[in-house]
Amino acid sequence: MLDYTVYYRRRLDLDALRETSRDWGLFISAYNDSERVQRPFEAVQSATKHWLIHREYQFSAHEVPTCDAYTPAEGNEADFWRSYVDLAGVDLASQELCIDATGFMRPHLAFLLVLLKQAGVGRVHFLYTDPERYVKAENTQFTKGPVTEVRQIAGFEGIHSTDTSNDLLIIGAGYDHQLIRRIAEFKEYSRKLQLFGLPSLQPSMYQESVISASRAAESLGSSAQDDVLFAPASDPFVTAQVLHERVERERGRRRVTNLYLSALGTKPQVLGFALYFVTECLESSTSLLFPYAERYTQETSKGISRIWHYTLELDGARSSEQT
Amino acid sequence: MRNNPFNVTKAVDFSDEQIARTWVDFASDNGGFFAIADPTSPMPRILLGGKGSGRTHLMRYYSARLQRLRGATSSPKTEGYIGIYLRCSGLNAGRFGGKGIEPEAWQALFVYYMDLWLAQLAISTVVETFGEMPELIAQEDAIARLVAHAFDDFGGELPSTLLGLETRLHGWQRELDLVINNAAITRRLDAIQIRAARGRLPLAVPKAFAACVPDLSEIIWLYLLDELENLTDEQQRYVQTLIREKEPPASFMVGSRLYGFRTTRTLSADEENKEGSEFEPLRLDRFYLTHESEFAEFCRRVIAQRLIEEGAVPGQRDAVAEQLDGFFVTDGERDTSFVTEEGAERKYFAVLARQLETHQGLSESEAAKVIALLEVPSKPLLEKLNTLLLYQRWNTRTSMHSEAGRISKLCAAWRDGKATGHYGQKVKHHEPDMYAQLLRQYSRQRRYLGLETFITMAGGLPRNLLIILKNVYRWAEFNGEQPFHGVPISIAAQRDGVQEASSWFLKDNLPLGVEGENVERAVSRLGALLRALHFADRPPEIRMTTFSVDPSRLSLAARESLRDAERASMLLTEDRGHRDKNDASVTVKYRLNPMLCPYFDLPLTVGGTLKLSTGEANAVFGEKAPEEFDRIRRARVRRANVPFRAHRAGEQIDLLSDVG
Repeated sequence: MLDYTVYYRRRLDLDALRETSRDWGLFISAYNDSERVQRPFEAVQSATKHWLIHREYQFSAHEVPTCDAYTPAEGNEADFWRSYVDLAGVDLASQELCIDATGFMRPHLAFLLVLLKQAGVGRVHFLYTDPERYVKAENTQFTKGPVTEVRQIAGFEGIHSTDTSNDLLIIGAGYDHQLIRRIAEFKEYSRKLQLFGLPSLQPSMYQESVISASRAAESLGSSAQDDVLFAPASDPFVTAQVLHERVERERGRRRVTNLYLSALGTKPQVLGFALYFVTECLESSTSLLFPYAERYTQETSKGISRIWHYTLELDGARSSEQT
Repeated sequence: MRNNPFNVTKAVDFSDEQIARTWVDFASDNGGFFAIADPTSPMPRILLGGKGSGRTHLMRYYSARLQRLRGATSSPKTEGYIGIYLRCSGLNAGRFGGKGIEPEAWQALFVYYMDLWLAQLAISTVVETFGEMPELIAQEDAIARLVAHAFDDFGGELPSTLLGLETRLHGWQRELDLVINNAAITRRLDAIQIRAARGRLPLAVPKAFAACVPDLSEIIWLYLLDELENLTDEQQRYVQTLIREKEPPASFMVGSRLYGFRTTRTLSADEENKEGSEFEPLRLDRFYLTHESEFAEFCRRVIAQRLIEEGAVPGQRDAVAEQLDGFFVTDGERDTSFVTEEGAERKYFAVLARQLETHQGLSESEAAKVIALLEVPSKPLLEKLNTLLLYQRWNTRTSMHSEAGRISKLCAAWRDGKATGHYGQKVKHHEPDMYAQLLRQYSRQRRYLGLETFITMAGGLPRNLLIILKNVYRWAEFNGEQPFHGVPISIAAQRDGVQEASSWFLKDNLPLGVEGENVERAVSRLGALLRALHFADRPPEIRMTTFSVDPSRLSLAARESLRDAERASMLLTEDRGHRDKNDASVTVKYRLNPMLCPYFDLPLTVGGTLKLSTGEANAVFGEKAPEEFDRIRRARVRRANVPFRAHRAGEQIDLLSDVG
């Protein structure tokens, strides 16, 4: 039986991060104004450290670091990584790689897993730092400006069936009800399930995300309100496990004609969705969807709570018997 | 707690079986939906409608799955068509673009992909529906070969079964999926062979079946392409091309949200499809609005069906539909007791007294004498009306005292049953607005009560009605009531439910992207302007939710927002073009969607039309800064408030200028 929960996950403080990071060849983080992005970057002692600048944050040139910083060309998530690799001249597959997921755009983070899997990378490290709180609680808007497009994330486009009679959409619900609404409407006809982060990053955050999701209730329809999933907001492996088990259960009941996944919650959950996809869903009738906005808020959180270190293995999932 | 019978507000949340079981026809005495959008017509139809117009419900009802469930497929001739239903969103059309590949290559790939998809759907639909027909079984080999011959290069052995044919088509589709997926990394469309000419496959499948099975040659093969809004402009051009190049026995019925219908251009030498020539359009919500009584009847039966289905109310559908009004508390006589309960002093007369002193130069005692003439202590509504009549004579040469005396006599005569003409007319015209003003002045909320009101508020979109009822029901339960059981649903539950539904409508119907932001801003500004004028001392029109404007004179940004607001069903077009007698301009009349009226505290029933100048319309619909809009709004509202002048001394505003 597939078991994602056996993968390696631990909590670090900044001192432990300093020590652990000496083994890494390349550390990449996406720049923004949050303390939880900047302080881990300062602490990391890897051979090389790179900042990536997302254009969606709309920083002006004088607001971003100039040293070891790269601003990839405009384009989608695939173009972003291709441009970075060209600009920096790095080989992502030839060294111990760690990515700080905290500041990355969700589709870019997800695409990286496909890219690394394709490049034959067996193991990759990720960091994620919990905030103490979001600046405006359940009203925190991570997107700035409207959603301009809803589509499949590059590399997660699936091979879909013409039969759409029992399509299933699983939404990893986050704080932004506009995103939830747009995804639900994009696959309006599908049966919908919501996955909430529980335990959440901080005690109040579960309630806040439920309040936010309730604002999209009409778009979600009745199925999504009666039937919800839970996975810890800071654990990609349990997230992948919950997805795996629920989808298996759904398939046991009735053939799922097409499966759509959309990770709008925390970055560890995005990693969980992407890990589940690259492990089990490549070349199947499954897609990862995302509602794209033009701009994102430069700073949405305050403080540092916990730093998580995950090691993802992309060369095949383990069964519980193997461990 | 019982289930809310209105929980499900979308066709997508219903199974095929539920749709078949709970189907309600529209004006069935006149042929119902089959007469409105005939699925057996060889003329392609384009069904347009706002969100919740029932388009998907109808198209699913026409699909072969539902045909089977209603027992209409024992013979192909029973309904004379077979419905091949496709949701365009299932194509995931967004992936056919970018990735460093030329748009032309994506377009060719999309066309081929869609052809393969439609051909598979047509085959699986007919096999599921008529697969047991002996003639079809006997001719399977011939049909499969005929379809295979439609390819320029089928490659390998020709299939001898329909399953074999489907497997090959699916294999090619799968190859395309892989190439498209990998293009994100490789930035190439590797080794793709387009095996059939554009548009040939969706037509070849019906032709092959029709050629081999006589019973299938006499029916229409109706491709039901729903959710067209999910395709890009260029992809929609292909759908238009299919419509233009269709051949019997195939036909098309295309469904789209209004704001997602982008083009009628085709890929056939860039030609444009014409209404009436290549296709017939049907705008469902507009159709409902122009068939008011049939729509109301339809809504009542839908609600009755829901209540019976959920076990909330027992009985036959038509009988339950008759009883529905009794489940809601409604407005009887306009209750003004809240005014008299607050004592003898009237808030509106206090305001008037100040205005008389400030702007007419009357002393306190003179103002009191004027007001005394307008008083009807037991009838606050008449006092409000008398005040309005005085405002209407504000800038005449006659003294306010004389005017008030004349009004007083008219009022008294009308109350005595004499000389009812002019004053009676005023009562009839202005009473609803004056009552709204009274409610507001005394901090009461306007009421939108009763099923008839809710049906009007739905604005031709059945889903709106269900959402209103869903919220009303929820509030009633929350308040400890037992909706649809004995005691009618309270005013409070109806009021709160309506407000919630109205707020939802504004947020939920905005189009994607910047257009959505522009529409939201424009509608909010329009609502603010209409509300301010509605509650002004002398509203320029009665029950004002309609306005007219000459779109050709507006700035580009304003024109686009106006168009997008209409496409998003925020505005309803009342009159598409009306030539002004005075200046030869062509004005178009729009009405704020009644779903939005509670949000802006506006009346539901249609009254007079507010004429917006070009400058005003540009400020409402264009990209002007909030301060600029406020300045123009204030100037317009000032004309409706004492002392009824457009601007203060020294202030220069040219409202008629094109300041776009």
